Formats: sequence, C-alpha cells, structure tokens
Amino acid sequence: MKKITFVFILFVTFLSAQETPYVQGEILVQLQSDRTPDLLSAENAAIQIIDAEQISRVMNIWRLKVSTEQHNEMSLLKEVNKNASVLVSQLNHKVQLRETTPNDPLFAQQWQYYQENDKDIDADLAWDVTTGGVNTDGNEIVVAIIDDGLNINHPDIIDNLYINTGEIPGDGIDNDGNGYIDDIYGWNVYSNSGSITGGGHGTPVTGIIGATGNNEIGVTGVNWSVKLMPIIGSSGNEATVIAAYDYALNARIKFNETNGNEGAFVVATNSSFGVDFGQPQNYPLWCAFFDTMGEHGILSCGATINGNVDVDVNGDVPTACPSEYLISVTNTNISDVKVTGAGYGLETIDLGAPGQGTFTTSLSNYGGFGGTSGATPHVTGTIALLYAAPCEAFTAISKDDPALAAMMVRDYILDGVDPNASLEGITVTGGRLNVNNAIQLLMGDCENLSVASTSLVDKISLYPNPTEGIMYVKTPQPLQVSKIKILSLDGREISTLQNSDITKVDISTLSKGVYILQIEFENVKNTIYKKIVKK
Amino acid sequence: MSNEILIQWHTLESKETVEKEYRVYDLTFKSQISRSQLIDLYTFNPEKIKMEAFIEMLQLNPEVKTAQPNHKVDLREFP
Repeated sequence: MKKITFVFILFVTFLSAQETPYVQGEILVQLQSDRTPDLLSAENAAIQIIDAEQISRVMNIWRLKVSTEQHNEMSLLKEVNKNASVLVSQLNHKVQLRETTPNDPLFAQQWQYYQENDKDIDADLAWDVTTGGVNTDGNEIVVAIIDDGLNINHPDIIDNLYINTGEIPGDGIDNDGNGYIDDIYGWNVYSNSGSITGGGHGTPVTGIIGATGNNEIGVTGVNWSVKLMPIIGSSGNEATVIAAYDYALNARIKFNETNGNEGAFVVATNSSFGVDFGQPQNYPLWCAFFDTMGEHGILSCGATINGNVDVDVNGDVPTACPSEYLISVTNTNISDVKVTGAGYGLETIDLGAPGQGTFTTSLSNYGGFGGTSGATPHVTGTIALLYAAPCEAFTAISKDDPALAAMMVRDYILDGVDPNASLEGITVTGGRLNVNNAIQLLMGDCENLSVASTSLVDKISLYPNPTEGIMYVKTPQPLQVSKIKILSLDGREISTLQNSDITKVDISTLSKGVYILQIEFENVKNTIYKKIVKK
Repeated sequence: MSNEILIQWHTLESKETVEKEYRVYDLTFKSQISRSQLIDLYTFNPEKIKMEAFIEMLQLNPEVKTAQPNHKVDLREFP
C-alpha cells in the first residue's frame, strides 16, 4: 500500500494546514497488521516514542506521543515514513464539530438559529451544507415576499435584492414584455408600479428569509445569500393579494418556459397576513392559487392567526386552505414552546417555527420581531435554502418536474421537524422547524433521487429509429450514458459500448431486425431497455 | 368590499357578453387581477342586488368558473 497522508472527512472539519493546530508531540501511524510501534524506535534513533496507544485494532492505527526535542512533528513524520512497516502517517489534527456561523456582529442575538440548549432550528449545521444563493445549475433562487413593502436600502438587504435585469429603470417601458412596467425589484400592486417603499412589517419578514449573511453587518437570514423579491400587496383586500401572487407566478412561469433564460426562479412565497376566522370555502380563488403556484414549482408559507384558536374548528385564511403546496405555520418562543397567542390545528397547521422575540432587520435598523409573521419566514427561508443544496439530481427534478420538487421540499421540511411537546396533538407534524434535519433528509436522499428520477430517464430518445447506421442517443441533463449493451431479443449480448458520455451508437454491422439496447448511466443507477430496429 | 367581486373566467372570449348580461346590476370591470388565471375585479351596485344573490347567479353562468366577494385581508401584525 502506498504511503499517504490523509484527512478523515466525516461530520467534522479541519481548519487549513496553516491555521489548524495539531496536537503537539503526537502523530498517528497505521502499521502493517502484525507490527507494533516499538520497531520504529528500534530501527531509527531519531524517533523517540514516549507513549503509544492503539486507536484502531482493525486498521492497526496508533497514536504516538513522541519527543520533539530534536525533531519537530513534520520531521518525525519523514523519519517514520522511511520505515517499510508504516502504511500511513499523519499529524494528529485538532477537530471541531462542524458548525458554520456567520461573522455578522448581531448574530449572537439570533437565538432562533443557535442556542446552547439546542432549542433552535439548527441553522448553523444546515449552513455546513449550504448558505443559499444558487442551485447546482447556477440559477439564482428567488423568494417572493408579499408584504407591506421593504426598505430596499437596508444595508443587510440591499445585496440580496432581486433585480430584474430585463427591465430598464424608469423608462416607462415594459422592456422585458412581462406585463409590468419598470418592475426592477418586484411589484407594488397598490400603485401598479415598480415602486418599492414602506416595509415596517416587510423588512423584518424579509430579513428573516435572507438578510445578507457573513458580511460583517448586523444579522443574517436563514439564507446568507438569496434573491429577495418584494411584492407589495399584503393587505386591504383579496384582489390585491391575488394580484401579488400573480406577479410571482408569472415570473416563475416565464422561467420555466424559457429554461431559465427569462423570468425568475421563484421557489417560495411568504404570506404573513390573512383573514382571522376566514373559511376557505369562501375564498376559492385565493386557496386555489396555492395549487396553481405549486404546479409551477412555487411552495407557499402562510402565517396563521395570532390568537389561541383551533383553526380546524374556527377557520383561517390562508392557513386553513387545503392546498398541498401551502405550509401553514404557528409561532414558538425562545423556550421552544408554542406561544399562547398563536393558532393551531391538527389538520391545518403544519408546524411551529420561532417567531416571538426573534431578532432580525427592522425598517431602518435591527430589532426583535414576532408573531406568526416572524415564525413563517423561517420556513419560507428554509424552502429557498433547500433548493441551494448541492444535489444535482434534485436540481434536475426541479427543472424537469417543478411541482414534484416543491412537494419534496415540503416533505423534507415537515418530516424533519424536531418533535415538540407543545405542538404535539395540535399540529400536523407535532414539531418545530429544523432546517438542518430538512437539508440532511434531502442530501441523504440525493443518490436515491437519481434512481427515483424516472421521469428523466423516460425522456431519453433514440433517433432515427429504425436506422441503417448511426443512432443518436439524446438524454436530458444531467443524465450521462456510460454503457450501452446491444442485446438480441433473447437477451444475448452482441456488443458493448463503454464511455464517459455516449451520444451515438453505430449499428451498421448488425443484421436487419429488432434488438434491445441496455442503457446504463454515469450518474443514475437506473438501467433501462429500449427496443431498436435495424433496417 | 361590499360592492366588489372577483370573477374567474373559463375563457376570455365570452367575457364581454357576460358583462353586458349583468349590466342591469351596473357590473363594471375594474382591473385585471391574474393574467394567467383569468381573474378580474368588478364592481356592481349592491342597491340593485345583494352580494350573495349576485354571486349565486354568476356561479350558475357557464362562462364563469368562479365568482366570489373581494374579501378584506389584514397583515398578521406583530402583537
């Protein structure tokens, strides 16, 4: 076995070599199975072992305490490596649990992300996987925040603002032809313009979703990076609200139709507003809109009533709307207990999230926020964060079947809650949001997602078929064909093509007749069979 | 909004015909609410017909997919 110096990579991280202190006077060595460390000293006087502890019997790995009076650890490693019995040697690096925290100075006040007692949403652990921004295809992830406005100049918001690059500011022309004139950052339904103002309520909601993280300013959102699309139209009447949703929907439809070249990759809407005691049957258009948005890949989060009310019995809009694409959220506090003045419902309210006293951006500064209005954007932000997970198969599904991707994200969030006694029996999941659990569920599924992505595999086409010579293999992204076997109808192998990305098959040498192609993939576990005809 | 209703159309082709049909109630187009979902906002004269009765009537019209009052909505104010 070649001698190597290696680094264990589990759920721990090592700082870089220059920054990472190792345990002074210690090295780790793996020896051949029948050897012990005393032979190192016996054969090389430069190696003076003070103590030896076997830390893996199976792999015969030892931690050696060594004298560094004459040689430092690096020199000792060179000496140790000269011995033929040594398979691997390395420094004993110091290890930390992976917890990514931003350098925002007010982060310590954002208890919702991290508390010593773990009564938090484990955002720090989720940030080990991603801090948001783009999916694996590089598409900017957009969240539509329907609210009372936004301070677009807030220093912790401005860098994460959505910008419609297809529009020229202030020219009075609908440059991108999306039906909205001068919609640079979003839309104002009240003024029917792109003017984004106000934000006494919307600025904290937006900050929770995506205040810029790790910028040495203020606070962070659930996403350090994301594109925030403010849509002003959260109160007044239902027509306003539906028109607000319609802006987000049109942007996503355009994105889907143009393969991401136009529109916006809106993955979620946030609704921290509603109608207390509203009965969904009286709001058919609003409730149906969640289904429509969901079918195009947009999940929605709704804040339930700020009152100790059983929504199953008393109603609430939107949180009692029956759409599968709507996540209804109630409010928990710093003690991880449902706030008394927050709605609940075993059939209607999906989960709890930190709301009361959460710390984030305010209209012109920073401060505490609360209510279900504060709880809901934590879930909305989590939706966006999951779309940034480093899982190509999930990105492929989100392009190929946006509605399926939305449902998957919803399930990861709901399946990943932390059980919570105060929510048990009065909410659908009985739990409180845990961002890390949700993203770990997605990442744990990532390989299986490839297998499950049968809709992608179904899109493989062979043409021309029948043919006399070359047959082309067209696969949707991200599938890559790695092996093709040509089989006779009775399953006998005739020939095999193996390559990193096969795009054509020459069947000119085959006799006329029907054959089977057995196709395997580089990045998907499925094997599929296609019938072909040689003319 | 006691005199505002939302109408979702199956198609936009028969919209004008339906509007004329209910002109007796002063049905007036106010604004387009959803382009993709064919939803429009209208006003009518509640002195000529009650909201519930008008909604019921519209729902029976085969050209109308959904009709409903334009309800009030509030922010979930931070308590």
